[in-house]
Amino acid sequence: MLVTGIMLLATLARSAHPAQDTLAMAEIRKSVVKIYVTFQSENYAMPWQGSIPSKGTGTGFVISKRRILTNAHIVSDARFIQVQKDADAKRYPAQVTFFGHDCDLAILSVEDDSFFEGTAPVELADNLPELNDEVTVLGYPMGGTRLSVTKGVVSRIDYSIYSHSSVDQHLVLQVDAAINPGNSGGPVLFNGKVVGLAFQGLSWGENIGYAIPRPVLQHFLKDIADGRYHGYPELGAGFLDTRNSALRAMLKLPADKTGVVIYYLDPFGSAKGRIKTGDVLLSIDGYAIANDGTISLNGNNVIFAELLERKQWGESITFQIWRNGAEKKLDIPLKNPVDPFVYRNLYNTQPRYFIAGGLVFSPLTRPYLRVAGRGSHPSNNHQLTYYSQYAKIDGLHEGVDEFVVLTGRLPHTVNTYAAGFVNGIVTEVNDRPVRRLSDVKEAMASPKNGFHVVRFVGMDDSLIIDADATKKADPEILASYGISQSEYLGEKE
Amino acid sequence: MSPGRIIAVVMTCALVTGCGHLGGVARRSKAHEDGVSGSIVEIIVTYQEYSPFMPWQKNQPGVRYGYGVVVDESTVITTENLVRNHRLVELRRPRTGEKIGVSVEISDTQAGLALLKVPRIKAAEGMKPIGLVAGVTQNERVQIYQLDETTQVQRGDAEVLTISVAKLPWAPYSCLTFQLLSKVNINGDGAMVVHDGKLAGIIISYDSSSRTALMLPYPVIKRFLEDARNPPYRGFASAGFLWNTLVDPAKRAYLGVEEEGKGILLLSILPGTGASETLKPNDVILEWDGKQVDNLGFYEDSEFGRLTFSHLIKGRRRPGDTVTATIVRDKKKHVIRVPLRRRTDEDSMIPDNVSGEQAEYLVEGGMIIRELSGKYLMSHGGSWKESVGARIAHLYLTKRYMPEKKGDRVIVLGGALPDPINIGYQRFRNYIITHLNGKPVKTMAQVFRIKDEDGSITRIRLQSVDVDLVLDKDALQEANARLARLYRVSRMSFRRQ
Repeated sequence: MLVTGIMLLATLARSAHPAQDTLAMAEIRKSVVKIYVTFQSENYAMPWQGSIPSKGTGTGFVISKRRILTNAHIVSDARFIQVQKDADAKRYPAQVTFFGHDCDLAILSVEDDSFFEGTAPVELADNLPELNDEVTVLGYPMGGTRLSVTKGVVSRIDYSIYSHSSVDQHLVLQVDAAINPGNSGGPVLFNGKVVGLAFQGLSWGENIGYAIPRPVLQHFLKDIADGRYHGYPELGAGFLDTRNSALRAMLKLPADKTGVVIYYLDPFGSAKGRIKTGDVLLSIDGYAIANDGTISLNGNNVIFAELLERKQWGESITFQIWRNGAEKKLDIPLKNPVDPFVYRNLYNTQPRYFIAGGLVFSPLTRPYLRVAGRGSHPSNNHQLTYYSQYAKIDGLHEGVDEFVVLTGRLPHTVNTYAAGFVNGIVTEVNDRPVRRLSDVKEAMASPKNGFHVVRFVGMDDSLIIDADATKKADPEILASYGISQSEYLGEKE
Repeated sequence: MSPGRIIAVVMTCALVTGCGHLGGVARRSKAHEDGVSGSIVEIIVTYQEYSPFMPWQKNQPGVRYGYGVVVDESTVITTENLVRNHRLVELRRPRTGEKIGVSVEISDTQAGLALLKVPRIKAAEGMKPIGLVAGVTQNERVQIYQLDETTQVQRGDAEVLTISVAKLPWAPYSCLTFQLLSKVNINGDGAMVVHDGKLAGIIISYDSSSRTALMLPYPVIKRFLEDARNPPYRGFASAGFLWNTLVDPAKRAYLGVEEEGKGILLLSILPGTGASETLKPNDVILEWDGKQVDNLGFYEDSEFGRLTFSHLIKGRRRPGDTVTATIVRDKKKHVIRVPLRRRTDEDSMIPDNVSGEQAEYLVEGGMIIRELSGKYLMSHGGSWKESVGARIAHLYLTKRYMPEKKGDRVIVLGGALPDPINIGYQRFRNYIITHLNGKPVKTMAQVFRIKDEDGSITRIRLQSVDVDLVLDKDALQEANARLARLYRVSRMSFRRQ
């Protein structure tokens, strides 16, 4: 009885033709693959060595050009990757050919062509499903080795943070089907076509799963078409809505014009130098921006930035703006320099460091912020938090390429009194400004009256170590703490 | 429990153990108790704090109980934290029920002490002033006096464990304190500590798990009373600088400090203090006011032994005094003279306001304009750093003592009371205000001046928001009236006189 009831409900909710679906499923399951990964995360507390390798599994599916689409988080920091089809005992070694860390997507390739026998590229749907449409999630979640199928309805389509990078926000498809570890990378199907790629669950919510929706998948595939992933361009503008009539009056905005007013420009954004603070953005690519910052897109009110989501790096966007009481058209090429002051999670990157006198210097990075948060020197952590969040807003980044932090101390008599400086942000070494990690090394080549003097942000006290004693101690420290290399300053250009 | 029963129990104990000495102690203590039990009073304080986020109103009142010590017929001293934000302070004598209303004459957060005036009424008669002890040293025994639940005087022994300069439990200031190991559970701040029938100090905190208590000792009380009896009250002198120990041999060599084991390093000098006239960061203090200062900051006190040198300032000098110091500056020795002043919270860029004084504020168009204080920041709870944002947290933690110009403060938009007039601005909370009506603001006085001169605040500029938040001038008066009514804002501004 109960079973019948559920079946009935399921049938009612289904909006497509059941027979067609079953057929499609039989085809598609051949192309949904299990991914076996051995990965080794970097150790930002001890940057000279990696952490203990671990194993993980995930899901991926074959798309055109003999590629496997999956999540970046499954194959990040991978040391060894294998893929396996549903009805095949053999595991094939695979390689990552593209990473999109800002959208948590990756492409795998398999050298052995025989792997693709019997598979057919899974097609992306042309449109996103509507709310309450029933979708099917395929994958290899925990609790078994064979393919699993779960169903649920689309419960929301909204913007959300992608936890892989932990800073980027894109559209997310919320499905009321459980997405469990291992499910990640599996296709979310509607009418036999891919509308999304399962990617993250909600630890405190039951039966809520998130998928990367079709437009983000499409954006990624289009981006890599030229053989390189560029990522989403950033406009880099902070805006205030103009619902307040007094604000509109101050901006001398006529009653028939609406839009948002810009109050901040990111020094690394595409808008920098083109849009000015105080400009009102009236329309974006022909869509009028309402006073609350939304545009009307296919009958939905969405935030105007959604149009930026569709743009590829290097494309342009057109704004109609209101500046000094007059309307103006602005074409803004969406290109922006690499921004070292966005603190994304880092993957597949060997941490850089420099050790002298048992003092470990590293650039400020998001993984390091996490280490510091767990660490035993909380007194200096507020500096790191402030610098990571306000680097550009408060102009702290001016004149530096990165912030250099004293991330550790390997105790030795030469540095006994340096403990209180750990997690301090270095401003100067031996009277030379520190603009990047290599500056520390260079400055230490010329001690000051026989001492190394290190100065830090927001600290009146300086760290002082004896230069000769440091030189003598260095090999001892490296040997006793088992450090093979005293520095890694990055790939040589 | 009656006093007779206490004696009886002690005597039985003495008989059982056969220890005549114990009995002797009990008898002597009884004599003292009779002499001093008229010097302790119970203090009942009804207090009420200002609401941290709605500074025009006050929180639910509460009641605190503690003790005071009678120092002359009409004067009682107690701890400062007990009378904080008092609305009513009452005093009750042991074994009586009458409560006598008293007034708070002086309340000094830096000393941790408050002075209460008792009216000359019949109920207050019979209070016996207690004199200050000539001296108590480490490991000596003292007696703690407090009241039990039936308002009888209760007495217990304690021993002086440590004498040191320690941070006061309820304020960010250091002071000479005695740590006691107590045989009784101390049930209130202000409990009287007696030695040889004289006042040795008053209790400022107690930890029941270790049975240790912190006592403000007689030298601090003595200075406080001397000062209070010669008005105006001037308070205690402050060093006026931040310093660090100087043990690191590399740093000592780098700074050119040759004296073995001596000297501390000055980090920053607080503006507005006497130190700012003569001392500089990186100066090394070898001697202060005739005493050698070791590399951990201690000197040898003639009375109390090894103490942090700040006691030479707070305990041995007064504001207005000038002391000599031997310093090393740029590797050379100098003897300099440092005038001492009293540094107050008001000298900070972000005052701590531990005593919870009412904050100055202005509500205009629902926008709450106020000054940043430590009290306000801490009101955000344990994760205040996340709540107020990294920028303000950083400012407080690294620059709170250091206004760029004397009197400069940090003016913030505390938030908005949502109303049609402030649509679009309601998300801004705890943003630093840089300009009002296009004019720079660094103090609440400037905020009020702009309001007075312009009649209203119509443009608010926040740090790193390069667009003014504009309020409709024509609608402002009506909006203010509406907001005051709807949110029941009793006063749209508070301005200290």
